Amino acid sequence: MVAYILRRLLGILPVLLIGLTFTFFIIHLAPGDPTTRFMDPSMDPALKEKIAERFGLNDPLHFQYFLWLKQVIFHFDFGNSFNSGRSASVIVFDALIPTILVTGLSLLFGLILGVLGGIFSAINHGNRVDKIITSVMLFFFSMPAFWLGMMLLGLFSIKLDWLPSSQLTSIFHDQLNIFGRISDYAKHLILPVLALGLSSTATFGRFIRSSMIEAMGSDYVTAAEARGISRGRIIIHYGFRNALIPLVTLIGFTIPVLFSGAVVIEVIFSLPGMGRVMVNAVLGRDYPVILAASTCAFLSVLAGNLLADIFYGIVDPRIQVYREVK
Amino acid sequence: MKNNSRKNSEVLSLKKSGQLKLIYKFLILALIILAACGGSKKEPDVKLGDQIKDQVVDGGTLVVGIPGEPDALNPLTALSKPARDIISLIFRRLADVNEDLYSFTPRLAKEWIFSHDSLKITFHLRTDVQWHDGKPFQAKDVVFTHTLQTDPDVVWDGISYKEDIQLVYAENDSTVVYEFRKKIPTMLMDAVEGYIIPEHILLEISPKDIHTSGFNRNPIGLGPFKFVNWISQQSIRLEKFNDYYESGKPHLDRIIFQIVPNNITLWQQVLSGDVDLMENVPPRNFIRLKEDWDAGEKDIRPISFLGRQYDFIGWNLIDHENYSIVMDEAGQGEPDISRLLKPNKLFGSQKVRAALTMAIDRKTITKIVNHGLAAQMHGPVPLIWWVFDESANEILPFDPDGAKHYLADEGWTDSDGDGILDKDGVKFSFEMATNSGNERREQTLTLIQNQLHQIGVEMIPRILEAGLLFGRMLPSRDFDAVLIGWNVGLKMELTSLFHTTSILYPFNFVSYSSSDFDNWEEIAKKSLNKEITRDYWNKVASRLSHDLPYTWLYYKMETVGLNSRFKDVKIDKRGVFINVEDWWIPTDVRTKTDMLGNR
Amino acid sequence: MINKRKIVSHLWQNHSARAGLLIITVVFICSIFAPLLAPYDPHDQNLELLSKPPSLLHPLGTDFFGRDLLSRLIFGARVSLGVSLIAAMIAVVFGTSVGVISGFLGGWVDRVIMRIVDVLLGFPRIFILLLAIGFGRPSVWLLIMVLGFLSWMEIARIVRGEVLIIREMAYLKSAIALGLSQSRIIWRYILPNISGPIIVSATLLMGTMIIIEASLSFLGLGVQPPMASWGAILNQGRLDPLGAWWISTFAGFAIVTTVVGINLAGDGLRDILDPKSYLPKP
Repeated sequence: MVAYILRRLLGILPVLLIGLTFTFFIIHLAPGDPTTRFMDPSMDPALKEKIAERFGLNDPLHFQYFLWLKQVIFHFDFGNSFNSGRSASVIVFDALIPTILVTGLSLLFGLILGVLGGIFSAINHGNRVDKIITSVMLFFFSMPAFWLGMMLLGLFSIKLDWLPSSQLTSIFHDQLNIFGRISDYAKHLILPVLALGLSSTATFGRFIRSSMIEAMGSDYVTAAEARGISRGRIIIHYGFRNALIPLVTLIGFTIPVLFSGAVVIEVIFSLPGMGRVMVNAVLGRDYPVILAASTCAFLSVLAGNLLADIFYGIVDPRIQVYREVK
Repeated sequence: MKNNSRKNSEVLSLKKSGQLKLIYKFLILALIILAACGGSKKEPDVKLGDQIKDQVVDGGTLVVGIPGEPDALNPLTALSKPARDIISLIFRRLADVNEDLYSFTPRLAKEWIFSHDSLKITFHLRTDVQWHDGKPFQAKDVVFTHTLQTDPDVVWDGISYKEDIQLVYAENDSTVVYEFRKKIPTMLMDAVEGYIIPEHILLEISPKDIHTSGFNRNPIGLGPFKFVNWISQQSIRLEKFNDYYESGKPHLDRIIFQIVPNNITLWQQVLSGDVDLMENVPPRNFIRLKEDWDAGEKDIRPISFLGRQYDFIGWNLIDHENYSIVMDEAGQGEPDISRLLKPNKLFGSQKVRAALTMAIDRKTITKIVNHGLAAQMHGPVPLIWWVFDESANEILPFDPDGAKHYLADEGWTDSDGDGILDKDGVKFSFEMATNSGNERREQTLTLIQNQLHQIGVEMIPRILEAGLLFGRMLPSRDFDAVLIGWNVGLKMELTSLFHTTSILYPFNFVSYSSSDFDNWEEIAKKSLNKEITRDYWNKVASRLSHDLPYTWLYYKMETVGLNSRFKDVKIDKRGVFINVEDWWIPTDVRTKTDMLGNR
Repeated sequence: MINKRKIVSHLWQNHSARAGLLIITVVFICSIFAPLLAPYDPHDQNLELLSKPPSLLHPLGTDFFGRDLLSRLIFGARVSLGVSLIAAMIAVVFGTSVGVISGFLGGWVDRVIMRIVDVLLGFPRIFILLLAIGFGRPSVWLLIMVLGFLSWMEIARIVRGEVLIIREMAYLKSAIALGLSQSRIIWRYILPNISGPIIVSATLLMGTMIIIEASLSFLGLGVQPPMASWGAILNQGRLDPLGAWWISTFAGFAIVTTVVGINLAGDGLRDILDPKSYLPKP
């Protein structure tokens, strides 16, 4: 197992390197110039040169690349933001927490509700309950998460003023006790998580339902029923177990999708996360921040996949063998 | 309560205070009063005050909503608007310009004296000023500030103010002398520009490293408020500086800047009372607020005033394919580039530009996209400059039929009957670019497209990311027409926009060249005589409004929403935070946020 | 292998698939006959009627320029469907080619290709979209290209899986043994047998494309005015969510209805064409 994880980790590195190299050259070769932010009509063109020099943009590109790579690999230093002069990795790290919070909670929310809904729907396969659940899921599955977010924001924050419409904490946060703080976070996160979570609920629910129905119709379930095993036990041990392994794969696929969704949702709910950092960095041509954010996105997603793989191995030890053969 | 404050708002506040707030400095030379702006529009200066001074009480919180994370709270490196606002509360200048944009109010300097030859200004500094860390403020701080401001490694964006200053030195701990190279009309303005920074903190940092120094996120100043903390992408907190040199001030306990990138969300927070102050209220919301306020239904005060920004269409006067060739030759010592440039096949003709201007219903555009919160603009002189004179401009009427005739005279007719004009087989079709993220300009573009369509001109809107537009397309002249705006500086100059020599630089991107303009603007800029200055600016205005390198559209009004519980507020064209140290909140209208920190 | 008439009649018997088919038909008719169906010219600005709520004259209201919202949505269907259709086609063609090559050739080619697919699939798509569109000159074709070339991976994966199964079948083994050319084997024996899953994923992909296009417009990176996709109209309404609620609401409604229709039809198709696959493609 340990060897397997190590091998997988080693496998990640070249992938990461290729991805980042690609990103590095795209952003440096694309039109647009980071120094234009400092553009001022009364400014001497020589000063512009000075700025470019400070950002290290005057060196040949391959030279810039290797310098950057060296700094990243040996010092984990992504350089300083062109915009604020802060360390790019610090900026990204600050922004990562809210994004992970939104992504993680949405995943959890979607998973719990989706699994329950899927099981419930499968048990009632064919009758009205199933149809209602299926339709509701299809509806959320077909809805852009940001539109749902906009509607929730419009209704609960703007129209009714029940919940805050932006930020992660209120200005009173520092004065609250521990429970107050948690409920302060909860109030700010409930709408974004709902908006993002509902669409993933549908993804999971639809999947669980199909594989449960398939399993419930299989011979071994019929056999189990014949042996007089209780229905609840059959649902959990035979039906749901069967769906568990592909579910893990599905989670692996869903994480990057949720991450992308979180970026948009953050923009709607003005959350201080990766979305805002990335959008601002791209628009402001803030190369160090773009690269740091990309690295971070890569890493988190690859880590998610790795975790899924490991979990896979735990749920079903045959998987490793299977993967080797494949 | 509400009625009360309404009455108070009509009482003129006699409080004097000032602070020059630069957004992006742009034009150079400054001065005097603005009497009328844009014909019928009266200066909508805000007079919110309270005449009963005895009632002033300390305490309370101001929550300001800002649209984005400030870049740095360092006067030398900050460029973003939110950062400059916050800096204006933490730091001070030697003196601040008054509302007349001509005279100055002493700040860190008690007084100043011009030498007999008018080449030196001697500033006598206050001796009772402390930095937020308790160290005394001294003349060496001023000298140090000037050294860093002019250090090329720092790349301070106000460096052009200091061009004519030869030397700055301290005579003693409280006296600083500025020596100029030559006599110019703006010596005092040039000398006092820029916030003073602490030598004892920044001395150890090399000028190269100033952009990444910790000071940027943990500034030490000497203004009425001191920096407390900064939560990335969320909020910045300032607190009252108890040893501020003006005793008894500031009255507010703290100011919190909340970062809310979404305008609509932010506005909603102003309405619900979570945020007290917001700039750039979307015009349609502002108009609604104004109606409610006039009906006495809201306790958010709508404040509007003539700002610092105008929008225009820039026509590319030259053939851009030819431009790069010419630029290469110019590099080899060919001085007279304007002679080498070929005119643009569409906009090279003044008559075509006049026709396009006449086809654009500038009045309706001004009204619709700004919801009435803007003044029309017809020429190059910004409405807040004291030389502004509407009658100096040549004003073309909105006249689509006339426009068609003009174009027909130039040979543009619809010969193939497809609804679009053509000439020698070339269609009158072009792209007009604007930067993304500006709702007002995108709307204007849509309206213009429709209006040009009426006279048979096809305009394709292009909404481009700002870096691409300003960084690539304009400097390389690779565009047809562009809809953008300028921020108006307090110094009066148009050299970088229209002067022949500026064709080499990015800002005369329309590549305008006129020897009349070159001569007249030079005289207008340098003259120490008010009459001559005014006459020559009028000549410049009439020339440019005839030549139409730009079609000027509208001069924007600023829209601010402020919770009405704040008293003695003064907001005018110099900015929103010019007298925050005087603001106070009556005890009976305090809210939960005002009690923050007094558990 | 696939009988078109049989598919349609099967779809028609399935209630939800029928509903989906109807929705899609209506939307397609709207986009094809937009000039006939739209009550007004979608670019016509009536400056007397700026952002008016729904009325008899303008059933869905007008936008900030006094343009009729219904007409704009009908014409917007063209843009939204056109963009997502072409992008989905690019993804399908490219993804199928890659999948077939990978699965058929096997060996190191397969390993390399699948590694690349893993990387691209793992990276949050929105970042790539932001980079591609934020750094390029925005245009409809760039948008289509970016959408298309970022969505082929899932199809490639599915197709490869199918090809691997078919490769083990007796008839294919005999075809190879007979020495038929590779291209003939691919065209004659492989593609027809995997068309079911391809059609299903292509359909579902179109729904996803509409949503992604809308998200990009939301971030201000979509199609350029005066052209307006549903996403762009939706985004326009965001400027005044309370004062002009009808803009975002109806645009969002158009998106959701269409995507529901596509997904219903897609699910129906899957039941007929690809009954083994239950894994919803994320």
